[in-house]
Amino acid sequence: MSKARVLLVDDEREFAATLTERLSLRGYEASAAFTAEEAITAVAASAPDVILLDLNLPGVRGVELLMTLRQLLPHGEIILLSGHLDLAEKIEGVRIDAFGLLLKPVEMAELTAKIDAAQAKRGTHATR
Amino acid sequence: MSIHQRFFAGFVLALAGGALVGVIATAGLGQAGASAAAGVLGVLLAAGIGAAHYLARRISAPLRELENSMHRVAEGDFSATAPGPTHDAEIASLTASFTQMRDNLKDTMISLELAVDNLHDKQEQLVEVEKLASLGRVAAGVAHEINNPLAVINEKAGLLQDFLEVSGDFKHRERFGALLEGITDSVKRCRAITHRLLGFARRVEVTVEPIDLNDVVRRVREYVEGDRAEKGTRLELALAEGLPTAHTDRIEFEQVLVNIIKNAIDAVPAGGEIVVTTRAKNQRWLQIAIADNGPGIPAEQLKRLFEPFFTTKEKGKGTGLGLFVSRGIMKKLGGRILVESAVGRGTTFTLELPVHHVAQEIAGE
Repeated sequence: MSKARVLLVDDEREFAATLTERLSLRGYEASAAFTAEEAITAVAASAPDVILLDLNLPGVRGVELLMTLRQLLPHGEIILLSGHLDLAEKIEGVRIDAFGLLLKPVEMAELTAKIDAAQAKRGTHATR
Repeated sequence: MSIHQRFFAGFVLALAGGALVGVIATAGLGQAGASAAAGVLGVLLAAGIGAAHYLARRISAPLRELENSMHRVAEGDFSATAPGPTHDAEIASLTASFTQMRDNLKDTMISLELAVDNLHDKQEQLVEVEKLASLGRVAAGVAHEINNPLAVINEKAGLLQDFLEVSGDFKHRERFGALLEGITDSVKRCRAITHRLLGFARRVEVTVEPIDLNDVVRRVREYVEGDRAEKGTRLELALAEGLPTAHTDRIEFEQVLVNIIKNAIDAVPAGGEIVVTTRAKNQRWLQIAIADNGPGIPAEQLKRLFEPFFTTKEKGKGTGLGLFVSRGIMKKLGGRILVESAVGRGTTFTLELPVHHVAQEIAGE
């Protein structure tokens, strides 16, 4: 199975840009979106395999963005990657079947393992 | 007949007697007789007034005493006594009523004072709980704010490490690597703190499994064996037989138990003693008590024990998060932590764990 195409959605540009570069170094096709609009555009245009989503974007309710991306990307997996998740976000994350919840800062090995597991799950869906 | 009526009747009777004698004397005897009769009348009148006065005093003295006592009771002096024994049945009855009223009032006052004290205690407890909850929210907020820049540091240092790995040799290469490792290690330490603050240990989900409480205690003893041996602490287990199987998150619960036993090892002097006791409180609750014979915790510190960042350990020895996090975990597992301590005698932490797990989220999260 090929490495996942990953979209990183995070308004913390320094974080998103650096992590994107590091994921690229590891063979993932990674790109970043810094706002909700950019994220929606990117998902509609390229349908990534895995989204790494920070729910705390300015000007948008994280839960709503999560539901929107889920609808736009029925065959992709969404991993929540935030500095903090409140209870409502956790519940919503579970409800819409987010693939995982990771808390920043995350270790690279843990993150890539999660991305690969999400990609593997997508593979089983595709053959079904 | 009331006392007043009787008092009045006596007075009237005496007067009437005197007057009657006077009338007879005046009517039947001549001038001399009349003046003699008038003398008798005077005497009788005096006697009548005297009798009335005596009667009045005999009745009013205990009444005045009773009145004084009532005033004292009204002012909160419950030592006020009723007048001594009396031959008058009504005054005796009044006295008995007074005594009963005074005693009832005293009992009521005592229970009222207890209730007020109790209310004060509850209020203080409520303030503490409230303070703890808001501190928890503040701590979580701070942790969140720190996680984002921390993540930036983590990725930037990580990217430098990535580059270093694919770079050829250059001056200070080794030093470079060591410095980067210092940065990422420090990030890990910060991360451990913020993640614990957010109650985000290693896993998000609570995994419920059946556990044998005594097995957990024996396993935890293995975990703390190094610290115990180093300090020379005696660690005794008093495990109850036939405990019901509990359903809970074993790893989270073990974390709490390890934390509290390690605290106890830190607290006792060299050669101190810790006793871990398990028992079933009832069909639904299990209890694990961790009792040490350390120096105990003063009441002032006891109040703040579960606050985040509160520590009595030396600077650099404790983060002050252990008990805060433990309390959060126990709450998440549907249980609780209780603590009792006596200065100079030791401290006992009691963990109460429900036999059947009820999922609960940490308040304020």
